[in-house]
Amino acid sequence: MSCPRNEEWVLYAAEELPARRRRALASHLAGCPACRREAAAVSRGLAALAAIEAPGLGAEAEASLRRRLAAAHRPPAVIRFLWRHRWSAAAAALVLLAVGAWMLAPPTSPTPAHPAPGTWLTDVQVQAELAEIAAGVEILEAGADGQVADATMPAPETNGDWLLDEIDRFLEQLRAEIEA
Amino acid sequence: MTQGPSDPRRPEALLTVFAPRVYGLLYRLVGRPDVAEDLTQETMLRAYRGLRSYRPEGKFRAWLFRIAVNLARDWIRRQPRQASVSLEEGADPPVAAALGASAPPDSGVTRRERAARVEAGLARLSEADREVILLRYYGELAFKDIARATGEPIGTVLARAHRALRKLGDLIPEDEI
Repeated sequence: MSCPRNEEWVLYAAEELPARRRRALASHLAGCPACRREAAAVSRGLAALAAIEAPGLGAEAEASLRRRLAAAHRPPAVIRFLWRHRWSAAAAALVLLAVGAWMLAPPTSPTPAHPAPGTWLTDVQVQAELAEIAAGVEILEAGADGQVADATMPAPETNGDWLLDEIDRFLEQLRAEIEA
Repeated sequence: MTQGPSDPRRPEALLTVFAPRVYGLLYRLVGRPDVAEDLTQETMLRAYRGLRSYRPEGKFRAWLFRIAVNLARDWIRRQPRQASVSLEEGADPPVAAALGASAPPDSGVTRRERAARVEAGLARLSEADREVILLRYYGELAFKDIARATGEPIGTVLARAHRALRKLGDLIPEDEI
């Protein structure tokens, strides 16, 4: 085996070589005085590091660091405020949710003015229906006569009397048929 | 991220386990205790704030010491060249004495004397070489992790380590080991 690169003696001395490579280098050392000197010098260098006296971090500096780390550990001010007032915040959130839900809800459908098909009308309902029809017919007739119909003006009472009489007669017949 | 009681990423662990080591590294790199303290605090705060983005791909220590090394490099870069830190120029008398080439290898050398000799030797190294050695000593990092911490190829790191260790090894006579 030829002499390994000098850098490899660093890994050898630091015991960071794979076992197989380490065995190979140990075997080489046995027969190579130059590499033995090289490896010994590197090992002395590593051993010399043990002599270094580690300077200590001052008590004041450590206390200051402790305070700064504690401050960094604290959650942001907004989170701390919300946590302190969490119950008020929860109540406010509920109110907001309720208001939002009310505003976003679709409008409730109005009660139908007319009964479902297939059910009998009461007399009052029939009268109301007929009044509406009469008003409509009145407007149509007025239009046919070349007059401008004004929806805001009350219709003259006499114009619809004949129709109401006709309908009254029809209803009388209908009741008679039902009773029969 | 889970943080058990012994998790090295807890703030207490950052303080008790790593702060002295980081301070030691920074003190040796910048040479001024006040600056080293400031940079230690900055390193710890950055590490703590950066824990969310930390991915445990390598050693946590390599990640932490990389922050410290980068801060030290930035600080050194900002200094005027003549103010570059070197114990060679302003060494204490005991250190200067220990540096003397004529100092005979004394088998009865005290631990303090040897420490002074090694520290003087460290001060003589180039910044880049010293960085590698200090990461090995204070960070207890494997060389592949030192490569990660310094952002340099492993070959470059090993070349720096070899050069530095040879110089330091020459300061220690064979019979002292």
